[in-house]
Amino acid sequence: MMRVPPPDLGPLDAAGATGGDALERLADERIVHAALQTLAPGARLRLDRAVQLAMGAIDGEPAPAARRRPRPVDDARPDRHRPFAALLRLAPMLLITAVFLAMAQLLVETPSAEAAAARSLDAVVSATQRLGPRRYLLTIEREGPLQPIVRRGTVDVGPEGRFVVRFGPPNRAPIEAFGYDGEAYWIFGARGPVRRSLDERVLAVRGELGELTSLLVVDRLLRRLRQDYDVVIADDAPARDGTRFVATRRAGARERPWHPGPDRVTFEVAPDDRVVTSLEATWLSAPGSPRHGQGLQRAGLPGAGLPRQGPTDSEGAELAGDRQPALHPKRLRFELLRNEPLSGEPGWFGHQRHHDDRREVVDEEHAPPRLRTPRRLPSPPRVI
Amino acid sequence: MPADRTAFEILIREHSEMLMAYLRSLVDDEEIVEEAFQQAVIDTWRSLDQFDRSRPFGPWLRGIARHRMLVLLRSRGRLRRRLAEFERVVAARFALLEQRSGDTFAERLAALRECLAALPDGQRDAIDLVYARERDTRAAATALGLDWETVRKRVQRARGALAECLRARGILPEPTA
Repeated sequence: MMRVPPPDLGPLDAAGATGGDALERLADERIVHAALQTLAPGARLRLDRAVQLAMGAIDGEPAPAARRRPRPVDDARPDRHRPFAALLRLAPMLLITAVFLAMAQLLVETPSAEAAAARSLDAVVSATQRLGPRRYLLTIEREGPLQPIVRRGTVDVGPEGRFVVRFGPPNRAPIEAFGYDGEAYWIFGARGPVRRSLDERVLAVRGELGELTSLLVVDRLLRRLRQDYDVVIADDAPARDGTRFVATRRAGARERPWHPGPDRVTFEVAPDDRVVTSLEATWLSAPGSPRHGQGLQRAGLPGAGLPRQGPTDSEGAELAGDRQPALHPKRLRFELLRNEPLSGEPGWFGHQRHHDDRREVVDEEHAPPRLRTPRRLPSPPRVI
Repeated sequence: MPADRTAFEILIREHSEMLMAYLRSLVDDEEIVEEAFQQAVIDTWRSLDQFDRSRPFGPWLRGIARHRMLVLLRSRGRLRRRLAEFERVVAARFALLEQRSGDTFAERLAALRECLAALPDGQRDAIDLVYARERDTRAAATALGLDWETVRKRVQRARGALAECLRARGILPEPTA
C-alpha cells in the first residue's frame, strides 16, 4: 500500500460549502494522484494480483449464458403427474420451435463460419496459456529503399508472459535483445547499458524494433486478433496437419496509437496441443498511406519526449542515436522450432543471462528525469 | 465455458487499471478500493448476459464498481455527504478519458509523463520519490534534505500543476467556472 498523502476529500463532508469548480479541481487532482500511483514499480504486480483474485473467485461459477432461472414447482400436483403435465405444457412450444427450426434451416445453409472460427481461436488462446515454453524463429521484413530488408532472430516464450527476443548469430551473445522477465521489460544493444522499464513502450523507442515490439509474442498477438480482426478458418488450402486461420483487420477497428497492426495474419495450429506452428503477419497498405509511418515519434508515447539520462554517443549507434525514420514493416513471420525445447527456467528470461556482467543496468523508472534540457531530442527508430 | 472466461479476463485486464484509478479517485482506503474492485469484477461476470454490447464496457463496469463501493462505504459508516455529487464529476472525467485513443489507462494518459518532465526540478524529485519509489513523505524529506511540510506542499503543488497541464492538453476538461 502506498504511503502517499492524497488530495484531501474533506470538502465532501461539508454540505454545499464547496462550489462545483472546487469539486472539479479536487476530482482532477484525485485522478492525477491515482494515475501517479500506476508509476510505482509494484503497481502492475498488485493490479495483476487483484485481477487474478477476482478471476479466481469466478472460476467455480458457470458462464452467464449457461445459467438458467430455476422453474417454480407446482406443489399441488402429485409427483407422478409432473412429467406428463410438463410435456403437455411444453407441447405447443416444441411444435413452434420445430417449425421455426425447419424454416431457419431453409434460410441458413451453414452455421456462421466466423462464429466457428472465433470459437476455435478462443480455444487456441486458451490452450496457449497452458503450453510450456516455446521457441520461434522470427523473420522481420521491412521495405528498404531498393529492396526488402530482412532481419532474423528468435523469440522464446516462457511462463506468465515472459519472453526473450534475440537478434544475432545463434548460440552467441545477441547483438540486440528485448524481453520481459516477469517484472519488467528490458532491452540492450551490442554496446551500452541494459535499459529496464515497466512500460515496454518506453523501451520501444530505444531499439530498432520500434513499434513492432508489441507484436513479437505470438500469444499476445493472438489475443489482439480476437479483438480487432475478422477470423475465418481457411478451407481453400487446408494445412496438412492442423488448422489454418486467416485474420483480416476489421473495418472500423480501433487504431492502436503506437503501432500499425498488420492488415492480414495467417497462422497454423497443430491439431494435438493447439500450439501455433507458424504465423505470418502482412502489411498491405502502400507506403505513404495514412496508416504507414504511424511511428512512435508521432504517437505521443510515454517516454518519447521525456528527457532522461540519455544514451551515450557510443551507445547511440546501437540503441537510440542517429535514427532515421522507421522503415515500413512489410512482413513478420514466426516458425515454431520444435526441436529446440526450452527449459522454461525463469532466469532465462532475465537480461543477465544474455550479456556479460560488465553491463550497466539503467532503470528507466528509477532514473530520475534529467534536470537540464537534453542536448538531443529522441529521434525515430533506427533503420534495420 | 472457458472461452467466455478467457475473453472476459482479457476485457477485465484491459479495463483494470482504469477501474482501479477510478476507485482510488473516490476513496482513500486501499482496502475498500481492492474489495470494491474484486466485487465489481465478480458482479460484472454474473450479470454479463445483461450487458448491452452496443454500448461501451468501461462505463458499465464503473457503474457496477460504484454501486459496490457505496455499499461498502455505507456498511462501514464512511459514506461522505457529497460523494455522489463528486462521483458524477469524476465519472464524467473518466468518460472523457475513455474517448482518447489507447487500450489502457496508461496509454490514454501518456501525456502525463510529458507533463511530469515539464515540472520544476524540486516538484519532480518529490513526485519521483513519493510515487515512483513509494517512499513516505518523511523518508522523501530526509532523502531531499528538506522538512516534511515542504515535501508535502511540493507534492500537492506538483499534482495541481500536472492537473493543469492535462487540462491544457485537453485531456481533462476545464472547470465550469
